[in-house]
Amino acid sequence: MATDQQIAQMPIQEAVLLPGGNGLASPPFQVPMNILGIFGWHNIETGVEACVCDGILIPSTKAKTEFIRLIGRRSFVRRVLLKPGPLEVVSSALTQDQLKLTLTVSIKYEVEDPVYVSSLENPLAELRNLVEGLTVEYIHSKSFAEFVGDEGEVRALLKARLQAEDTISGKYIIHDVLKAIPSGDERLIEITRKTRAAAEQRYLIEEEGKNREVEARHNVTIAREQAQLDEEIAQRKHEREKEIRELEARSEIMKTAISTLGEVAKSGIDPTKLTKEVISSIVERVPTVQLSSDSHTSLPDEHPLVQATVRNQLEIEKSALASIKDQLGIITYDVLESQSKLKGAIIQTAGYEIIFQCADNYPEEQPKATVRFSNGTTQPMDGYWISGVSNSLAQALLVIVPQINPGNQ
Amino acid sequence: MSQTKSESTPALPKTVSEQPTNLILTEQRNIECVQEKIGYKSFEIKPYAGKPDQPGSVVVQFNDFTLLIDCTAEYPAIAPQVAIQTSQGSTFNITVPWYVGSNLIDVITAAAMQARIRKNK
Repeated sequence: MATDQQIAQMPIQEAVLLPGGNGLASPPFQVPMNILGIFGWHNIETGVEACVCDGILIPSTKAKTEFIRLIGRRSFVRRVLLKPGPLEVVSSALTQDQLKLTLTVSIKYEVEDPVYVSSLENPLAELRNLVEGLTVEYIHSKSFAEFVGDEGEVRALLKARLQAEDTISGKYIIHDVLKAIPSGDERLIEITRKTRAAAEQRYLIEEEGKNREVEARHNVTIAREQAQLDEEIAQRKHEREKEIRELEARSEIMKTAISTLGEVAKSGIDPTKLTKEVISSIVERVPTVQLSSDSHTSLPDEHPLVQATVRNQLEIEKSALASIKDQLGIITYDVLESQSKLKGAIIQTAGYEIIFQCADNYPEEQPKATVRFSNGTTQPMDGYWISGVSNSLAQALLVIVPQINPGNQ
Repeated sequence: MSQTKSESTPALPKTVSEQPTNLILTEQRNIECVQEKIGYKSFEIKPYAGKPDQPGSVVVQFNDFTLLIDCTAEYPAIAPQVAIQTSQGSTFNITVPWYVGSNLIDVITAAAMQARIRKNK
């Protein structure tokens, strides 16, 4: 049994463990009065311990006078440990998903109210029970996987719950929950960890799969469009080459035909019948190429204005000829073109035909007109064109026809 | 050193969409441009009754004949009536070609050429 002198002088950490102490406070003792038996002092290490004398806090070292000792009365003091070691609590309970879990919790705390602590028989048991109760409640509220996969949430939440408790508030200061380590059936923990890892892995695999699927879809689309484009380019190239060959062939035929007809006319033979046969032959030999330029949509690229001009010129000639056909007694008229350009026209009437030959710069340049009579004779014509103003063969016809010498028929 | 040669506008194709609002002014400008080539002395375009922007009666004076052109309300969709009046006072109708896009220059050109042929016969 330690004496008062020993209790007063031993380290506080040992004093609180003496019989009669409660773990945080030493057993009661009388402060030794070394002077005349009524004067003395007690050393207090500020911040480490505090003294409670007859229920009153003595926070620091001070001189003590006890005159009541003269009449035989004594006062008792208890030393209180202010900063004890961490309180470690192990709690076991069933989690929300009915699996057994053990949570080991370590709490760093400090005594705030030494008077309260010194008054308790077993303050450590009170603290331990409180922490254990809160921990068990917390285990009940969470699933096994949540504890296994915890990343600090358990400690923070436990600290907040402890600080809010009436037993703690104002009496102890909770500095931190140092650890909150789950344990239990190691197989379950391992399974949970693997399941969690597998879920994360599966998510990554799914994302990777989605990315690959999107990439593959785009690649297929690009490949398909590329193939279509290649096919279209090849098709267009083929059509263009085909039409160029056809037009070249037709141009050669036309040149030969016009040249031949000219020779025939010069020889004095009536070329009327032959002309029709030649035109018919040309149409039969080159059926896909029409006399108008409307079908040549895939010709080699040419300026739009040029294309429109050529197309309009052919249409102008046809429309203009149609508008005077009846007035001039025209039986048939054929507009000759090559590569969508006007090359000439053959106007057939009852007793003669008029052959126009147009140069490349028609209508700027006057077309060459020749009248060929049924007896084979020809009559060259002139004075039917005003360069820069005249713009259709029909205008020329209106001037040519009145000049034709009927004696040649 | 390059030279720029002006193109003759009457020979170019004409479209309906190119027609401005005031057709008389356009026709006047066009006809004035070809006076030297066609050889007329003067011309006058009177508006169509009730349509001040559209040609009605057109008179083109040459040295030895006159062109009388009567445009309908549907001009330029419909060809005008054209007559030649000689210096002696006789008048006879003539035919002119017509197509979408034709204008008074086409009419005057065709008519003037025909008038000269008739005179020379």
